[in-house]
Amino acid sequence: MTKSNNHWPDSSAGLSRRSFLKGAGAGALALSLGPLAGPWVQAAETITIGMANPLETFFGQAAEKALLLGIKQINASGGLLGKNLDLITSDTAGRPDQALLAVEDLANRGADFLTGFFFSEALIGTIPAIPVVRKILLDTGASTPVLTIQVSKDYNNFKFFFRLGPVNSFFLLQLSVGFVRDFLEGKLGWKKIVLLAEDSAWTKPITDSFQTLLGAFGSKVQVVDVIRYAESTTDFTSLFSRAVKAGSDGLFTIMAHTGTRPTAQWAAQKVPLPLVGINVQAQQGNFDQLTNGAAESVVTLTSAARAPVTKKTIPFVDDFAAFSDVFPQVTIPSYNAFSSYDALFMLKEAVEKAGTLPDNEANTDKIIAELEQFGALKDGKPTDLFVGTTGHLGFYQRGEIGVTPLMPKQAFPHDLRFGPGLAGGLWIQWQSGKQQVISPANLKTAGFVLPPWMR
Amino acid sequence: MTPALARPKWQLIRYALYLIPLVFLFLVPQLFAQNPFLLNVLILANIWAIFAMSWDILSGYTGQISFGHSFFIGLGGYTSALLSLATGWSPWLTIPIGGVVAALGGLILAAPALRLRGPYLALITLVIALALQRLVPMLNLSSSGAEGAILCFPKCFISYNVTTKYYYSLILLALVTVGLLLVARSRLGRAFEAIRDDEEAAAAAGLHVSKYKSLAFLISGFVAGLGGAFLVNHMTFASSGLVLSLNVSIEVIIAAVLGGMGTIIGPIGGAYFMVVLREYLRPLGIWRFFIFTLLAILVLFFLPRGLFTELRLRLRQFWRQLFPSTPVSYRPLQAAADQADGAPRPLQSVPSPKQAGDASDWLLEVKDLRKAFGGLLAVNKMSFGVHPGEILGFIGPNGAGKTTVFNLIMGLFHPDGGQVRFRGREITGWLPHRVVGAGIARTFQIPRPFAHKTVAENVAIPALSGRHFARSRSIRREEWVQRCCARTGLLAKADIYPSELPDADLRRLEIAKALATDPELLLLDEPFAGLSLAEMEEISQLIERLRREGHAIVLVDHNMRGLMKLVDRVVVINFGEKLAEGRPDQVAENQDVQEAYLAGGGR
Amino acid sequence: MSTLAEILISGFLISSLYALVAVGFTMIFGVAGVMNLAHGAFVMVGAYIAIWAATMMGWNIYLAFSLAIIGMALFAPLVYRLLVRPISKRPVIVFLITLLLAVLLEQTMALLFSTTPRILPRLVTGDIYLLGINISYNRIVASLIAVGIIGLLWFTVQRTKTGQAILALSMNRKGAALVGIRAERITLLVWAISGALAAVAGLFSASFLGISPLGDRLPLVIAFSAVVLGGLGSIPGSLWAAFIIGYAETITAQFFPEARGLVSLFILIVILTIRPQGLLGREIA
Repeated sequence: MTKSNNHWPDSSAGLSRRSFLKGAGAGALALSLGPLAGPWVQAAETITIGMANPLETFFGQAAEKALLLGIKQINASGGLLGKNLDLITSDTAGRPDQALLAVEDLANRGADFLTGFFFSEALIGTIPAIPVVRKILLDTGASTPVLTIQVSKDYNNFKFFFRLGPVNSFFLLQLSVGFVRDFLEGKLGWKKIVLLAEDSAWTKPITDSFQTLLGAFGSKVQVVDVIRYAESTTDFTSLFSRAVKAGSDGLFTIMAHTGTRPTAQWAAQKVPLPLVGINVQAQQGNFDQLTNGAAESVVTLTSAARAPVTKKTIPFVDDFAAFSDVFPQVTIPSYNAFSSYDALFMLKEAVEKAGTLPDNEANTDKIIAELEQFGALKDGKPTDLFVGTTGHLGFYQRGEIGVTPLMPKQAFPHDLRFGPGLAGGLWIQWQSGKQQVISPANLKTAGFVLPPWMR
Repeated sequence: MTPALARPKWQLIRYALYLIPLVFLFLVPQLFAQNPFLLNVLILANIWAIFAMSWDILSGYTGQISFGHSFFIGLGGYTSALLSLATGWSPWLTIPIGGVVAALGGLILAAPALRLRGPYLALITLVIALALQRLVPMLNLSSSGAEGAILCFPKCFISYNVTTKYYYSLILLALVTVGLLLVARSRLGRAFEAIRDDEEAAAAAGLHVSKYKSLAFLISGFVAGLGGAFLVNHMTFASSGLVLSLNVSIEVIIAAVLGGMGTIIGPIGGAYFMVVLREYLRPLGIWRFFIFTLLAILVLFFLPRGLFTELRLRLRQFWRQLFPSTPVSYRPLQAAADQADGAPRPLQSVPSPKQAGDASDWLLEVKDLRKAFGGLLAVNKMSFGVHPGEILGFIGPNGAGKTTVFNLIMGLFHPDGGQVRFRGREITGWLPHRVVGAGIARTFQIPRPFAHKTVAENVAIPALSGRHFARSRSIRREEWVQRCCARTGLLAKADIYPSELPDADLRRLEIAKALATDPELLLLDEPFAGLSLAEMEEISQLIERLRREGHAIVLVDHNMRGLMKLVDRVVVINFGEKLAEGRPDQVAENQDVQEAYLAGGGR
Repeated sequence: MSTLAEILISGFLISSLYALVAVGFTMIFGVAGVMNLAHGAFVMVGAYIAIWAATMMGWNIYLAFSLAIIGMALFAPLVYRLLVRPISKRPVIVFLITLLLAVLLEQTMALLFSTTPRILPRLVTGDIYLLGINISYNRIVASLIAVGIIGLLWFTVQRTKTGQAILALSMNRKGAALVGIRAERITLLVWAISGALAAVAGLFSASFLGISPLGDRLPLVIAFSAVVLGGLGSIPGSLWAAFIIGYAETITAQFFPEARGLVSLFILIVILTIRPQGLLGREIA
């Protein structure tokens, strides 16, 4: 053993040694790659649902739990077309390159249908995969309109994509503006608000157009300040005092990647402004615990809650809480869990109507056609709506232009219909450690409360 | 022949052998029924291999550890996406342009980075990458509210067909590998490695360190940008999480180091290991990343040189146990060696030594040189000169400032005042590589060989600057290296690593390296320190021989007795100032000198 | 005027926390020559130990805090012994292994506690209005403790024998061993102190900033920046740097909240360009 590295005189021995090395390397490569290539042996007697989600997050776990609950119920009542359903999952880790591989992985392992997604950035990563995998993909959590725009531009390659929830970002904006007008202004008499948004690309169109849209919707509420904070902000003190100085009736939040930190500081500093708006992290069942009680009086938009949105909602919420075989610590479904459950049953109905499984492109097209029937327009009105837990669900059709002030000429085929009587989401408020519905009026379980230090 | 200058035939065969795994990879679609999952995994692996190799040519080869490679990847990716959106050009154009923009970004990064070393450099690369990541969303580039992603689909989409994309990625990988290997094995690569091993010694060897570092940033940036643009085109969009996040930078480093830094091929293995293993572990669900990180830690812990390098090492040892080889013989070279030894240098005329006080005849002239470090005045009003062909002694107690004077002449430090003239030209404050280019070379007090190179390779480094070619184009580099080795008596040991050399030989190596820059003036810093009497005798003879061959020499030491016989004149320094100057016997009698220095009896 | 007061107070509160993180990082680098890139993860793990104890086991908050500090003070030297010392001859690998350790710790916490951000219960409840700004007692206590600990550390290093040993070791490892300083013992002690400091920083920042395993690695970036900016191995330097970064962020947050992350980075770039050795670092000879 010499002291020095790289001490290797060139000689004819080098030829064989190197070739041995290369051969061994090639062999190892072959051995290692083999198992990655499919196809897994498929049990022909089951229908496989593939879920792609960030499995480490609460949202991924809730969605998985909802799907398993639904599958258990469907199998108990005879299955689908006489076959049992089962679930396989693949992790997207919230990253687009991983989402791409997750979709490919699920297809490789024999998934017949795909569902899932939470982070919009990850969903976008599936664009190269969808035309290749050619399986129906039901998005249950990401709101980016990009995918449905693809459906409108390249139907033949992207017809597989449907969004079951939430409504897309443009509609979320309209929802928010509607809430400000109807509830905050209409019921609480607010006149001025301050927008508090995380500085992400998804919030930019919202904050840019909020005031205009308010005016367009006939509201007199004024946006007196727009505070966009970097996602990595640690200290919100100066932002809150800026909001207070602006003189408003409350803070309207637009947060998804952040939420815990600003909420906790808002409560700790006893900011004299209610915190309402889109606060995705506040949807989590244990948000109050996570923030150590700072959740009290926080309002957020969500797809559904324990309220009679439809006749299916409350039974699902109760079944979900009772379903302790899986993730027992996840007791309240998140918005994407509701949508995942809906997706499953909607799919079941479409498959039964089509009478076939997606074993080739023609049969897949039949199922797609059935899905497209949900919410199809007849005499200008959507019919055949599917009764889900989040509302009456239907899809926009090809060529149909929805009401989207921000993109007036864009169609969103296969996107969830938005409007009264359809899927509209509801607004919940944390009160005494529980989520109460405060809007819309026909579903409300409690009235609005002020933050504890303002009472 | 020395290993550094390996026979071209074996190089070709070695490259041919690298093709075997490549051929296998080309056959994968056929072998595995074009499975899209597998192909997508391998596309990603290829892209990460490109990233990892780009990191390696910079950080593995020059030692500038980049912690923000996402800067280049993101620049390349976003450029390609934006260009595709704005102009509709095909990926064949936007991808190379992305690479070019990233390369230019590399130059921007290089500007502050050139002055920084170690963790400071790592920090600035990290910070600049983070700054870009935070800047991009502020620029409001994306339209459709798509989470900050710039969707360039379908114009930027390389192909719907996964197999086609796979082949494209493989071809890109092959091109990048070949290109970077050529760079790494070339003189450029040798220069990079020298800078990594010892930046100051590299500068003293005449390498323009800043130029090489900038080149490394440029090349690395270009390749990373290419990879980033390809990734964006593969995914059809550019987004912060995809190409700009800190995770990307970290994963690039993991892939490269796991594979083996400084090898170019190693990082390919590292990237494959990282990407393929992670997908392999998919069935583990949420445990996947945990298990992978654990495995990576274990690999690094037990195989710190990296998978590829360790494997290569073990295989070599195994092979040598089976087939012990005989040392390479140098017989064919003896003739050249005999010829080189003692031959006078072709152009320089040898003037008569021991001529004092001829002011118009200075080879090197130092006037009123001054340098302070903080509050300490290290060198003050230093003036002296060196005649052509003379041996000047520089003596003084420890800390008198002798080495500092050398450093000032060589351009390692900027003098606060004074002038240095060489052959009549003012060279005060010139960068080291220019001073070396002008014809001055120095050795270091403690020998600083490039540890990972053989003696011959060490001597070849200064020859990279190409100066000797100016002298005589007919001399090939290998011959020049051999000559320098021969002149210092190291020819028989040309194939040995410095760690195996005794002290005296390390001194010889220092001198050989200095000679390789073809200097007229040699500054030898304590060449006798720590040597036995016999060794001192040998080095003295060497120095005499060098003078006979026409070099002027300045010799620093505090061994008065040994020095006095060798030198023509002496300059005595104390506390940064010149105490006395003149012939050895004159100086020895100088009262001040005796008090300050010899009073202790002389050592 | 109240804006100024706000900036001064807020800036101080956040900077003192950053300083706590930075000092722990610098100490290890100064004494052991190791860039412990897992330091940010130590901050996080400290917070999670307390979260586990306080919220899941229902312990008293003081007990939970103590457990976290002691736990990290034991964990950090363990990391040194098992992971760092065996490979200490290869600084690049140490760099990377500590980084991988950070990732591993993040993954472990994510598996155990999920990725949702959490807030740690506060040590002290209640708040006070200082110059018109509402500040919780918790934050004031955090700052005072941070400053107190750093002061105590400084005093220890300057005045006690152990402290002098630490200083000596940071200047010259071999030399220190030659004069009888037990390098290994001191190194372990320094790692323990660093772990404890990280835990304290984690505890306080988690109580008002929240903690999440897959965060943006903020503590590490701050620590690394402050330490390099201040000049490697210089504790006063990293203190100065922590305050510069903290105040820069606070001022930016006041006037340009979107650019918050950017300004401190630009300051770093500028300072490193002008003074490559950092504010108080030794000139690279």
